[in-house]
Parts: sequence; C-alpha cells; structure tokens
Amino acid sequence: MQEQTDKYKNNEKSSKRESISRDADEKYLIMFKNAPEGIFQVTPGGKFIMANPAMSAILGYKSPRHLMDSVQNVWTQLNVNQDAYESLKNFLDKYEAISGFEIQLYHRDGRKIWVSKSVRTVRDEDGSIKYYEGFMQDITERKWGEKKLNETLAELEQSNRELEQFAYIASHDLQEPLRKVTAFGDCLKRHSADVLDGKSLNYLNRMQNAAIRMKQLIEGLLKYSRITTRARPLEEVDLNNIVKGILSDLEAHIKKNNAVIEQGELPIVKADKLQIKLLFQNLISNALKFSRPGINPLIAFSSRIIEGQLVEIQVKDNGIGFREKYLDRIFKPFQRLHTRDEYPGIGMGLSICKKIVERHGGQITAKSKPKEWATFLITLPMTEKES
Amino acid sequence: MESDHKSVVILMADDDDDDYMLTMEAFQEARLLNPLYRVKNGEELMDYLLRHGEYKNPEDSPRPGLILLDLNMPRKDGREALKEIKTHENLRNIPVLVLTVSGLEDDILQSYDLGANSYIKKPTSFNELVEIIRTIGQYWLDIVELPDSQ
Repeated sequence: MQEQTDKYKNNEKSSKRESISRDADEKYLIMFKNAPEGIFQVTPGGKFIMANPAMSAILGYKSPRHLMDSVQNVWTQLNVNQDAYESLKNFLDKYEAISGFEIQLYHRDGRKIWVSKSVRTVRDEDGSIKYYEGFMQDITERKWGEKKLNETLAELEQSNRELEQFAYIASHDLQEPLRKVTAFGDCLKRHSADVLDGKSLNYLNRMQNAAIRMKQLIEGLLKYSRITTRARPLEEVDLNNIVKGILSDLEAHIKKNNAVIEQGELPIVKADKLQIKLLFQNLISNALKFSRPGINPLIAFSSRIIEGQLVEIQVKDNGIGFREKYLDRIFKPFQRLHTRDEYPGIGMGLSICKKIVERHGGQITAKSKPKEWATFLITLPMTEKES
Repeated sequence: MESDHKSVVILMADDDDDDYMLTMEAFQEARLLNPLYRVKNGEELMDYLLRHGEYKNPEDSPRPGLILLDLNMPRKDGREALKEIKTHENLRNIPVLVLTVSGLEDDILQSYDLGANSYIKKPTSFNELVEIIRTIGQYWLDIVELPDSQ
C-alpha cells in the first residue's frame, strides 16, 4: 500500500512537473507569438529554423510559414548591402553576440527597410556554429527622420554660411563706391570752395556726413559678419590678462573720465583671443560711454562658477542703465535706445558682443536699474582645468 | 653723383579709373612732380616691366623707381604680380608699395611675405590721400636712396 502510494505520489510529482513545464512552454510560446519584435533562428547557410509573426510582418510576409518557405537564403535574399552583412558576420564570429546592429533589408515588396538587430551565435559541442538567433526591430521611420533632419541641418548650415559670406562680401564691396563719394566730395570742396555759396557748401557737407555714417554702418556690419567668417580656433585664455590689456590700451580714456575699475578674479576660458578681447573692450567702452553726467564711472568685474560646468562673468557699472523692457533690442544689430545727438554710435557694439559669446557656446544678458546701474552677465563653458 | 629725385618714374598698377584720377590730383596737391605712369592689371604691369608687346619701346615705358600696386585687379592680380616682381632678378630691387582697399590681416601678411616694401590702405578722404602721397614723396624720393634705375 505504501509502495502504491509512493508510486502514485511519484507519478503525481512528475505529472505536476510536466504540467509546470507545459505551462512555461505555453507562456514562452505566447510571448514568442505576440512579441512586437521579430524573433528568429537562422542556420549558417541562411535558412530560417524559426521565425515569429512579427518577424514575417516586418519583412512583409503573411505568416512565419510564408516567410520560411519564401526565403531560402537570408543572407543573399534579404541583405541590401553585402559589406554590412559581412561586417556583421565577422563581428559575430569574433565576439559571439551583437546588439543594436543597424542594417538595411529588402521588404517582400522590394522596398528597402532599416532594422536594428541583436544576434548571438549558438555553437554545438565541437565549437562549430549551429545557428544564429536573435531579434530585430523595424527602424525605417526613425532612420528616415534622422536622414531628413541631417539634410535639413546641412542645408541650414550651408545657407547660414552663404549668408555670412554674402554680408562680408557685400559690405566689403559697398565700401568702394562710398570711399569715392567722400573723396570726390573732398576734391569738389578743395576745388570750388570759393565759388560755392553757404547753402551749397552745407548740402555738400551733409552729403559727406551721410557717406561717413554709411561707412561706419558698413564697417559695423563687416565686423559683425567677421565674427564667424574670420573665426580663429579657441585656445586657453586668461581673462584677467585680457582685461588688463584692454585697461592699459584705454588708459588715457579711463583717466580722462575719472573712471574707477574694480577687477575681481576672472576665470581661464577657451576662447578666440581677439574676439574675447573685442567683447570686453566693447563692454568697457559702453560702460564709459553710458556713464551718468557728473558721476565718476565705476566698472566692476567679477565671476562665479554656476551649475552645469558654466562660469558667469559680471560686468557692472554705475551708468545710466536702460529699461529692462528694451533688453531684447539692445543686443540686436543697429538698434539704439538714444538719438545720435545724445550718444554717438551705430548700435552694433552689443550685437557683436552677443555674437561673440554665442560663438563661444555661451550666453549674454543684462540687468539694470535705469539711472543707477547696469550689469552685463556672460556665461561661458568652463575649461576642463577648472572642473 | 646724387640722382635727380624729380626724374624717378612712379608706376601705378590699378584697375580703378577713379583711384587713378584721385592719385593724380593728390600728386598735384602734394606738389610731387615725378612722372606717373599707369597700368590696369597684373598682366599689363609685367608686360610694362619686361617691355613686352605694346611696351616694347623704352621711351613709352621707362623703368620705374617705385611701384604703387593695387592687390585686387582683374586677370593677374597684385599678389601674383608682386610675387613675379620679387622673384625676378632684374626687377626685385624696385620698391613696391601696396596701395589697396583691403585691410585684411591675411593680405597684409601675404604682401610682406612676398616682398612688398610697404603696405598702405587706401584712405577714405582725399585729404588723407594727399597726406599719404606727400609722405611717400618725402620718404621714398627725398630721404631714401634708391638703386640706380638703369
């Protein structure tokens, strides 16, 4: 009886095991059948051992059976680019597995589709390859998107380059006739000053002043376009030295204005030396130019490290400032907040600053309290040395 | 023994008629009485200096003691002509003053590299041009000793 029971128990155990394993098989089968990714096994000779419905659907076949019957050799019938296939095979022979390999295959209707494959090699005891197995995903749409994006990007870069080249050439060539207007105006004056009446001389002077102003505008445009057309490679630049250099260049100007400079510690950054000098030169000149009448200009430099590997440089003055609603305008080419009688200039200084900072991967903005102070804030990427 | 400064021939290579006219006026204004000859591009300049073609007759193309050279000219430009002059055995001792609209650093560097003796940017106003011509006259024709032209 005991024996019987044991036997029965054993039987029960084994049937339980069988049923567990049957359950597992069924689970895997359901997964295999319903997986959104194509799953496959392929012999080294290129014949399908098995494929799931997603696999046949990706390639445009009605069912796995249809796919397996139609495709006798995966390598030759499905691969678009034999070189890509060779490099996949070489990689697998060497490293046994690969994931996310992107390759083009032929769809049943003749279309080329892009797939991302993850494959491993399965070998028998003596080490020869039994089959390859893995899964794949249709990434055609993503690839098309990428391609379109790259094309658009390339077109944009090209048109930007052309535009900058155009601005440069145009402003260069525009200077020529203008120089002559001024020069022949001079000649006319020299030649006929005694025969021209006051009114005529006044006209002539106005013409020449307009020509001089146009020359300044063109030069501003030329400078602006040169920031990208005449760019130099970035090198490590100590901003303390840059500012020191500018202050010594502007020494006479600073003394004349009774200006006080507070030079705090500035960082070392990767920069185009000439451009970064122009940036600080413009900011210092601006601070001196837009000082308050009767008050000695004060310009203070400081810097701090802010999150995200950035360094912020502050240039603060005690000048007339500006209303912050005009913040956007002050950085745009030829935009001015004052008439020419109040403050001379063509309105290019800060737009040149902005373009320089942006070329260096940074940003510039400003804060101000009108009639009290203005602060220009520049963020630049930090050099590796500091981080 | 001293050569006559007033007889030193100045040759201007410039395609721009206006600039030639302005330069002539500036010569008068600066009271520089030296003969001023003109060619309109690099090819003509080399023909003149080497007495080729229409410049065969030495009386029409006296050897210059000083060349005013524009950089941007059609056909052969000033840079090419400068290179040829400064590598030519019989021509390289003629001082060449580049007189151009370009203020590009590359042009300045390249010109001196090729052997230019001075680089002058064309000024905007006529008064400045007169000043430049006067200074050229003082320096290159009065102060400096030039090699014998012949």
